[in-house]
Amino acid sequence: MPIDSCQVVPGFELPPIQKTLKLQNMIAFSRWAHDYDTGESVHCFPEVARRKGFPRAIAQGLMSHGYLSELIAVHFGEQVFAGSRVQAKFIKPTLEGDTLTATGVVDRVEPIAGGKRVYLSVACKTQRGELVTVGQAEVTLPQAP
Amino acid sequence: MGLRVRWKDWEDVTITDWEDAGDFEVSREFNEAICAALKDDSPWYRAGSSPEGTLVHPGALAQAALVLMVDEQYGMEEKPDQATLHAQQDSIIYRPLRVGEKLRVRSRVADKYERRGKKWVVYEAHFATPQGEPVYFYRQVRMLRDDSERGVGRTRPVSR
Repeated sequence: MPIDSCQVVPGFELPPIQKTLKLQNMIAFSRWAHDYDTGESVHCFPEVARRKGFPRAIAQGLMSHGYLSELIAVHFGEQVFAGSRVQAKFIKPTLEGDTLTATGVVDRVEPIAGGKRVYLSVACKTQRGELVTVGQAEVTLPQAP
Repeated sequence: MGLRVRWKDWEDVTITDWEDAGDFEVSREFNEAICAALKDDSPWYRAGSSPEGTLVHPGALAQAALVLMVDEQYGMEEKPDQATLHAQQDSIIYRPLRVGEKLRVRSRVADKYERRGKKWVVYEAHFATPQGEPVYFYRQVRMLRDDSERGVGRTRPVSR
């Protein structure tokens, strides 16, 4: 998918994506882990999460990370699978039922051999406006033909 | 993957050199399950989307790495009044990975430390082809919280 050059300038905001954390999706994402098998997953079992001090099941941070990956892949296309980086800090737990909005803004663009490197600030916010995940992403875009 | 499980208390976790963590591949079933869980219907993850093969979702790679390292290789014991929380994640995709491709994994416990009254462990893994071409790097910072019964966002110094 070709990217318009106006979309890779500092300050450009990627179209955000929204996801609601449903328990069934949290289970589908986290059921591969050992603590699912033992019934001790805070991501899959609300009663375990409550026992550990959370009001509801909490989503894995990697779900937010996955949304940020989707955000940049949807915008920049398949080329993000060659030389991309997503760094994230999970600063607050995300709870079952939360709706997350993943956002990204281009910070800077640097020329590199054969193309350009795009640096972005990325984040996820809840429907309450709380920042829950913050980070940076980097994407390499090949030179336009 | 034939790895040894080494469940340990945080105190017993040791920083390691890079270790062979075995062979690895993302199956079609796992990739599709992760895409469905994330509600990501991007075309490049669909079977048959490319003659080169179906792309692996970054979330599938990261989740597989987490299960591999935290569950199967360097398990950290969580007591009933503790919660281990994923605090930071760094993922680098060097080149596209296709479903079913064989990779070799090397991993390590890169660091452990106490900061702001909490205990932390840093895990890293490198995924490469059998010929040594880098495909994926995974770095996870995990926090062991002793005061989980006190609720979301509440903290106090570790008292052990």
